[in-house]
Parts: sequence; structure tokens; C-alpha cells
Amino acid sequence: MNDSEPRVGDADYRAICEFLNDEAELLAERDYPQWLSLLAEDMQYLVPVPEFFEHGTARSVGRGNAYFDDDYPSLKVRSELLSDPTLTTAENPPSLLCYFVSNIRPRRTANADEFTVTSNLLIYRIRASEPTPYLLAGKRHDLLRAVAGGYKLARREIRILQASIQGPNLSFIP
Amino acid sequence: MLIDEAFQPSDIEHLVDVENATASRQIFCDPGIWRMELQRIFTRTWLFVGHASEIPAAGDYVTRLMGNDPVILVRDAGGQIRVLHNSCTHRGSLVCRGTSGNARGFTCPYHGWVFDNSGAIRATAMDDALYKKHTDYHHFDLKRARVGTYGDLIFATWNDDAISLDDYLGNARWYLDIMFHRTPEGMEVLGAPHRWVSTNNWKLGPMNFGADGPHAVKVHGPITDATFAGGNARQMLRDALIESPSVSMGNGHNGIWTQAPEAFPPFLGWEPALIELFQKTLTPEQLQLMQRAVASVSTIFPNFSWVQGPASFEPATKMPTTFLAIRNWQPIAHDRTEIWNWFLVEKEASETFKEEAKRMGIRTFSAGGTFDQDDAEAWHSIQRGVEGEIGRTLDVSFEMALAYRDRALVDFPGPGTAYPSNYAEVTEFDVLVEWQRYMTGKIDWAR
Repeated sequence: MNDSEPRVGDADYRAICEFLNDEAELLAERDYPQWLSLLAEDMQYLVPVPEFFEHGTARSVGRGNAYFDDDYPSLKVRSELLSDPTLTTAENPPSLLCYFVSNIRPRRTANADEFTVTSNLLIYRIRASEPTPYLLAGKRHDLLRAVAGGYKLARREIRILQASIQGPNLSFIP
Repeated sequence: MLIDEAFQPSDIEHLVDVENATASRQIFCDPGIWRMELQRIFTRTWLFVGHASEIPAAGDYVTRLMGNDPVILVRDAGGQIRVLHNSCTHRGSLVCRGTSGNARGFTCPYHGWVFDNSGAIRATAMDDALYKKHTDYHHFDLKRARVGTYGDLIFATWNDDAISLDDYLGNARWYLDIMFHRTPEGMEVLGAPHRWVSTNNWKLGPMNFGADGPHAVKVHGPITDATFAGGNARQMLRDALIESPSVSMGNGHNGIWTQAPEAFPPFLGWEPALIELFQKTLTPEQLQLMQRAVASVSTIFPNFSWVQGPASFEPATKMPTTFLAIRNWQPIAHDRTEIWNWFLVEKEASETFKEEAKRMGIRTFSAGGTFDQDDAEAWHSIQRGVEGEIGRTLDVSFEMALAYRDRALVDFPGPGTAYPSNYAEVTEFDVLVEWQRYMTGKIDWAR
């Protein structure tokens, strides 16, 4: 949560919402090269594996695991693979994707040009070989950096709401 | 009706044609066969349940599956490793619903029966003396599976007649030592397991990791090009797979050791301090097989596998780092497999190496991994292709094995029987040959 940080003004709020909506649409339309252009070069992208603890017994295993632990270079590799249907089995034919981003809550930080943004995410996905839709929900924690003409996404952590991924793969970028 | 009443050994025998190296597609799509596998294989063999580094202290536990039975892997108050059936002896509820934790015991959510972390009953809902029939209160202890360890690898079985874990692993121990005992301290898990559900019969995983050489070029060629420096990585991979050994370790344990081309340095993807430890710890024969292996992929029958290899996502500027993934293929339905996937690293490795090894594993072999994501779609396609009324009357082919099964290597450094190619299909098919032996009652202690 970023509740302790001050809220942003109207102009920033509108601009950040537009950024996240446009960004989600690039992912849904699988325009990965364009999406990559929105990332800061020091981008950190993390989707941790959720663990479930009974009350009073909490203990993580090891140092914690993740379904995605990426940086700019590795996201570039993913972008190249996912953009060309001849380079993956999973995305040939390409999946149909819809991204729902809601509850966008931007906050200012100690850095005048950086904002933390939490949002909720729901992805609806259809693969050619499987009529049943796949749903993935998560809570996003982003760090946006203001640059000339807009923002760059500098950090994203998605806490997914699934004990076990109920599908054969995550051949997209959540 | 018991499944055994529906299927007799004679009904199963013909489903795997050992001589001709084919198998009926029915073994991947029949719910009755799946139930029979749970009984005849998963309640009979040793099953991997976890790594000792997941439960380092007394009271530490993780929840696991043995076949379709939930269990708790726990280190009890006395330090002994236990595998407890996660089902209250009163009415059957799960007594633990977390993924991991530390506790002195487990309390049933229904009537509050309490069990300590050795599985012993500590309290029922009412005066224990009223249970007149049971003078031995421990009648109500949680059911305990038999536990066996090989180093820090923890296995369990429901079968009191099963041969010892050492005998069960047999020749595979020599290879397991290369993977898990190559430094004095051994390995540690890097985090809780990934879990994801692939939409295919569970056997496709152990077969693929048993291992399927040729799929690697078709399915993983592009990502190999993207993550290995140099122009024709895919062609080099194909050449290496064709010329590298596959090993039948015995008891259904099988795998491949893909050897790097001459131009590659030995021990690609490890830091120098670790290489020194390998050289002090392993035998010359083990080092000979390991030092040029760019892929080590194996299955311990029935559903435990490993995959290891070097990877870099900045191949032009960053040397590769070797990751090691281990996994269970859980048979949750005839057409559903829950994959449990852990990453391991040498305990002596530097902090930098551990983090990088974890990242390389996550980016390659996981639900979102650039290798696994494509395997899962291929396996999904197989399941959809074989389960129709016509589809299940046909066979799957491992007939490349006929060209290779008489060509065992004579100068191979390790135990078992090795064949000269990762394309041989002998070892992949051997997983099904072993499957048939269990399913038709040919293994005395597993009958």
C-alpha cells in the first residue's frame, strides 16, 4: 500500500490513468515493442509466488520464489519472442487478451519526478486450442518516473491471487 | 466399483508394445487407467516429497501431494523428518491448509482434534477415556508414510513392502550425486515451489524429461538462439543432441546429458569457487560427464524430474549462469497435471550466483518460462489430439528406439545403459516400459 504518501493533483492523476490504460492496451494488443518503449532501462519486474500461512505459523521457504523476475534486457527477449508467432509454440496462433486495470491509486514520493501507483489487474485470455477462458487477477505496485513527454515504468510488482496457476503457461506479460 | 475390477493386467499388457516401441494413446486419456495408476504406482513406489532445506528447523513444515493424497512434510520436535497424511483420523478433514509454516502441531478445523508435529494424537473433542474400544490412544495418530532420504532429497511411500530407497534409486544415485552432492554442503532450495496446471496427462512430463531430445530443437530452438551467443545456436544444439548420450539408469529412471561442442569451455555457467569444489567432491568419471554438459535432464520414476543448464538473457555481454530446477508431475486428473517446480543452488555459492541462478531458472523453466511455456502448449496439443474416439485407438511412436536399443555405449563413464544419442527415444520409452511393469503387477514388492 502507498496510503501514507500524499495524493497527486488532477493533472498528474489524469495523465497517470491514461498512461496505465494505454499501457494495458499495448499488452492486450501484444504490441510488445511499443510497450518496451514505456520501460525505464533500470526496470524491475516481479511476480512473486504467493504463500499461504495458517494463523500463528507463518514461515516462508528459502528466499521466496517468483513466476517472473525480469529486467529490461530479459523483457526485451520476451518481447522479441512473443512478437513473432514463429518463435513460440505457445503463441502460434496468438492468444486473445483483454486487460482490466482498475482502482488506480497514484501517490507522490520523496522524489518529485517519481510516483507509486497501486492498481488491480484482471487478465482474460483465450488460446486457440482451449475454449475455456483463463483468468489471472493481481494487485499491481508500480513505480512511474516522469520524463519529457510522459512517464516510464521503472518498477512493477504483481501480487497474483492464485495458489496454483490454473493454466498451462503464462506466455504473455501480466 | 474398484478400478481393478474394470481392468485386469491382460487389459493393460498390450497398451505398451515393448518389442515394437509403441504405446496405445489410451494410456493418456482414460480416467479408469488414471485411477489405476494412482493405486498401482502412486501408492506403491517411492515419491519425492521435498528437500531437507525446506524444513531446516524443528516444527518446520510444508504441505505436499503423494499421488492424490495430501500430506504434510514436517521436521518434528525431535528433529525427525515425518510425512503425515493430511487428514484427521476422526472425520477426515485436512488438518493443515497452509503451504508452509512452523508449528508444534496441527489442529483439525472441524472438531478441534489436535496432533503434535510427529503426527501423534494429543486431544480429541471429548474425554479420551470415552473411546472405550481404543485402549491405545495412538490408534488416532495421523497416518504416517514411510520416509526415505538420499542426502537432502526426501522421498516417501505408503508401501511397507517397498524395497529400500537406496535400492529403488539404484544406479540413479551416481547421477543424483552429480546433481545434488557435488559440493561438500550440497544444495538448498531457493524458494517455495511454483505450481501450475498443465492440461495433459501426467506421463507426458516424465517422458519428456526422460528425455525427449528432438523436441528441444523444434520447440526451444528460437529461445536457444536468443539466449546463446553466436550465430547458429539452434544448429549447434541439434548437433549436440544427436551426438550426446541418453542413459537408462534402471528401475524406470532415465535421462540425457547433452554435451557442449568442442569450442565451449568446460563447466560453463558456474563460478570458479564452485568448480573447484566440484573437482574435489566428484569422481573423475562423474566430472567427465558433467563438465561439458550444457543440458542434464532426467526423470526418477514415476514423477520426479530435474533439468539443468546454463542461461543468459544478455548473451552478448553476460556469461551464462547454470540453473537447476527439480519438479513433481502430480497426476490430478487423467488430463490434468499440477507441476510443482523448485530451483536449487549450491549452498556454498555466492549470493550473486544464487540470485542469478534463481532468475535464470524462473526465466526458462516455469509457468512463465521461455522454455516451459512452449512445452505446455505442445503437451496440451497432444492431449487434445489423442483423446477422441478415433485418436485413442491409435498409437504413439517411439520407434527410433528400434534403431538404437542395440547400440549401447561401451565406454560410457556412468552406470546403467547409455545410448549414443539424445534422439534415440530408448530412454523416453523406458519410462512407459516401467509403467507397464507396475500396472501389470510384474514388480513383486509393488503388487
